[in-house]
Amino acid sequence: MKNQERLFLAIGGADPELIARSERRRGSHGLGYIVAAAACLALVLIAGRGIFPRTTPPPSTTRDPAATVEPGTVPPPEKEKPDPDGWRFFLPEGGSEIGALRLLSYAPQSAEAVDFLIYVNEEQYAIREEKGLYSIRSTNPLPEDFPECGLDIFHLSTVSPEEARNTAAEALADRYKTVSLEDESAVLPKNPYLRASAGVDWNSEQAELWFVDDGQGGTFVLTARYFLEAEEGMGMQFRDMVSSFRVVPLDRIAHEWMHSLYETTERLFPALLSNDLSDVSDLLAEDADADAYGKNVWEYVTIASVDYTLDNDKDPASATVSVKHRLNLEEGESYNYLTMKLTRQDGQWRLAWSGIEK
Amino acid sequence: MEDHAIIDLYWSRNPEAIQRTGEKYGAYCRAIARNILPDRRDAEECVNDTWLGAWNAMPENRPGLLAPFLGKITRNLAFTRWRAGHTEKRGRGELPLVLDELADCASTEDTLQTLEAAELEEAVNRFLRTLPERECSVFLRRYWFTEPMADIARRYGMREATVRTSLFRSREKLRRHLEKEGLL
Repeated sequence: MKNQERLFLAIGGADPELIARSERRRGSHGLGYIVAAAACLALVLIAGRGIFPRTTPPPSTTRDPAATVEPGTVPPPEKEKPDPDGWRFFLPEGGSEIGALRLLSYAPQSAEAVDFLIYVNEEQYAIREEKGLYSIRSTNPLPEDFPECGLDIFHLSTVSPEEARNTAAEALADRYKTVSLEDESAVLPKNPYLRASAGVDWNSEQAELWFVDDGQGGTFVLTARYFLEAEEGMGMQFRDMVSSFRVVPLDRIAHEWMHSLYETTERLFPALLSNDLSDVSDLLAEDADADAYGKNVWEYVTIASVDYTLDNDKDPASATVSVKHRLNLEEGESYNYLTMKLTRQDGQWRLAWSGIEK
Repeated sequence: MEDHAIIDLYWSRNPEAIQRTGEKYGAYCRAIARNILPDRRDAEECVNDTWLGAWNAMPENRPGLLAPFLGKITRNLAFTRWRAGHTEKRGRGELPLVLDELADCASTEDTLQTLEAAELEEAVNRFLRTLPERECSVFLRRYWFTEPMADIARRYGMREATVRTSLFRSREKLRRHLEKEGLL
């Protein structure tokens, strides 16, 4: 019997309590909320599309680089200090206890060299992306009769923040009793802001929308939704997340290792999928095992996302990069993953091995 | 019927126990078997053998949680059948992928071969208790239930890429844990 088979059998002896616990479905949402949440955003987006027909379509080649860092590696809260380079993560209070963080970044299909970054506590929230809409939801579902809460992020490529806010205000007026517009909020200074309330009952729906200039003539719309009694709970957590939101042109990323990792990755995976490593030989570690399809598939491939997992977020020595893609989008082929293991020495990332997973 | 009532039927050697177990846990055990054995007939035979296994295991045992107790029997039966090669020609299923992943944290040396199964089980349980709840659950859905990553992502409202990342991290932790315990 192989070692992995013995290990598989040993896992079969896991504590029944843990097995039973894994049965609990988490992060599920009632259909009602999905409809309601979608309605809120859809109103904004549909209205935006009507007025601004060049609004970004859902990206089919979304870039979604992400890094996950271990608990305990979080830098202390830096809420009050502006970064000299204009780029810093503002972490919630008690940052050292907020668990595993996910660094999520996103760039629209139009490759306008704009990206966003947000810190989300993955111990408490799950992130989903569908057609360019990023949805952040609690992994601890509320009772079914509670209005559910969430934070959504969407990009409008040709709409200014003020235009987007005004459009949203009109669209939300029917749904909420009060809609107030402000030029900025404490959470994201210098960005237009909208707050809407459906009432003052404990379960009255509340919404906060931030409209962030992407620096390229477009807007990122962040929508937090919760009910009144959850304002100091989830509402606060959403505001903390929003406070970490930053639009980051890729050429301005502060950490050299991250910039270098992005650049290395973006050279490597086209080369691997093209089955031509001649231009990336400087990026291959000694004895690198560079494997992909063994043929050129690059012209057929659709990239869905690029995920990064680092051994740490301060001075990483290795990274695992997963490129989610499919070869034939029109035929609805399922996703494959090009997994690359990179190591970093003397500031240079190099490929140790790669392979395709299905 | 409540689990304790079903278990009482087993203890009183009442054949109704098997019928009641099938009604309540048939789908549960079938899903476990199907994740390992892609052939429906093989899986169904495993599920039927599970009831017999439970019948034979009680009354010596009185399981605190009936579902994992039955699931473990199904899992072991399905794995044994898979290893016997019954299904090689009928499709690969999820298990080969799971075993490939577990190879990451199982040394190619023979160290695990010389261990008592119980010793390795205990080490794995100690490892599982070190994991955060969600990471532990994701790990078990993949390596206990042999579930596809897409199913795990749906269950927990996660992105599939996040599930992959979580599993990758867990395997690294397991490898380090086994090394630390001197088992690799």
